[in-house]
Amino acid sequence: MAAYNLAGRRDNKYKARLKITVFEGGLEAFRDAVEAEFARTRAAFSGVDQALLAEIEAAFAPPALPLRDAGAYHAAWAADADFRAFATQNVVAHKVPGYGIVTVSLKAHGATPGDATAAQMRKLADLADAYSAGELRISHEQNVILPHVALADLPALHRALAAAGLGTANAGLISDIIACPGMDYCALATARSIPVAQELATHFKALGLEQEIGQIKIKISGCINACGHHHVGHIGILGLDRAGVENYQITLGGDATERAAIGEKTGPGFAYDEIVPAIERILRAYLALRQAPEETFIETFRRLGAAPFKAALYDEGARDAA
Amino acid sequence: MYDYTDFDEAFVRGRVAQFRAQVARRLDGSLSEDEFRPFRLMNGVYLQLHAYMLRVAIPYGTLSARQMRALADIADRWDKGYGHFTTRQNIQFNWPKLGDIPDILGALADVGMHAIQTSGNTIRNVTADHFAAAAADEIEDPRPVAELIRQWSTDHPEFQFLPRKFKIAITGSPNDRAVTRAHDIGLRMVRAKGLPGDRGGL
Ligand code: SF4
Repeated sequence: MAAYNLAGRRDNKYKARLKITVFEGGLEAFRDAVEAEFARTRAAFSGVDQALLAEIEAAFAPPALPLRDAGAYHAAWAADADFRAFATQNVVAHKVPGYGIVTVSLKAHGATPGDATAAQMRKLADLADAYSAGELRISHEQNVILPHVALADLPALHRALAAAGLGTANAGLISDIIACPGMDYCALATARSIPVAQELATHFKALGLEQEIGQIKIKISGCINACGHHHVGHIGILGLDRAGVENYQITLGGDATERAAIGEKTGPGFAYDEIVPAIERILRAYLALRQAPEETFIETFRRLGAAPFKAALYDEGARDAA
Repeated sequence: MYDYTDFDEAFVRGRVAQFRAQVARRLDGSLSEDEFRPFRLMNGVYLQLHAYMLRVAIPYGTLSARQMRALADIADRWDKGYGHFTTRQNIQFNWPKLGDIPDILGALADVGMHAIQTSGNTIRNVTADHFAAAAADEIEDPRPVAELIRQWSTDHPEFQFLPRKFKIAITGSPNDRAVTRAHDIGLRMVRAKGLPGDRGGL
């Protein structure tokens, strides 16, 4: 922090982030500056206050999660297709046997990603008290997580969520889009992002292709500040302003995980009313190109690179058809 | 869950009182918008396209049911009945009146929450794996370290006017759900030899 505080640019706010400091001066020079700072302060540094850390750790002691009979879970799984879809899509394994981590989607089709009404927040608080040791999480993907749910309670939780309009079984699917506030709220925006997310979600639902397409991360930002993390979306959409008109640049192959990658720009951008058909061309190409339904979009992209997707994206014939 | 100590609580209350006086001076015209700007940016208040916006910190994305209810009450009482969860695990209220914001910050302090360092060229809310302490693949809960960084960075005198905002993310799992590689500093816990017990190193 001290090295960045000294070396970071203060003459141009668009060039002031650490990544630019490192890019312009080189990683070696920055590393040397960090080492020099450490050498200067090392004598006075006595390490992390272990008593304080122990106190904090004690506050994060895990809740008691007793073993429960999961009969209700298996019965609901056998009897209820909606429950199966929810349990498959929105629940992952917990470190404690018999428990799951539940993602409550704030991405109902056509809704603003990440918005929650006061009534929904209260409902989530009540459900956290009833089923998740009183604890909730917010994910950077703009969903709410109930981290400690007994599988035995999952059918009752699912019924309660569905009744509150919070049962959308789309975690990780195409409608689970990250979008920044964009032109609807943000003073820095160069284009809308929320309506693009809403139209993509409703469009692919109407096509009935959500399940077919499977796991994919679409991320949308309304300007180069990239609050919507578009660079690291499997498909990234960046809204720009071209002479007063919204223009959306597409990137492909970004990845936000431990295999992090910055998406590759496809080429010329698209007007607001062209962006949904453009994304559809990319995804129809994926469906045609994948080796098997299990091969996800990003896996197909890694195998083939951007070329076949770009061909589909800029193919005039396909553009007329879509 | 981590509850605020008396020290944390006194600090947050002091900040609310200070900001209340600054807002009063803005509203009676003794501060211009330009003069007020650095003060509001210390307290998570942005001026957006249509209104002021308040961004509330949700440290490492963890909330208690009681805190979630307080957010609902704020949405009903001082906003338009909803809030917006962000890509850095915070919540934004898009329609508060400036004169109400000190009361909102007071209501947040009642449940151990605040809006400090959610704006400005500071070290922002430290984000963490949203499956922390639950994920089957986890080495260790990353949140105690995130909380340690929160305490260290809050009001750190050297780092209140950085060249630009600064973002830190931490994960305790090999499968990175916290986007650590796209942050100014990304911290990953790994299994390390020579540490007591089964502890992870950073
Ligand atoms: S990416 Fe740009 S438009 Fe979107 S929230 Fe960030 S600053 Fe605003």
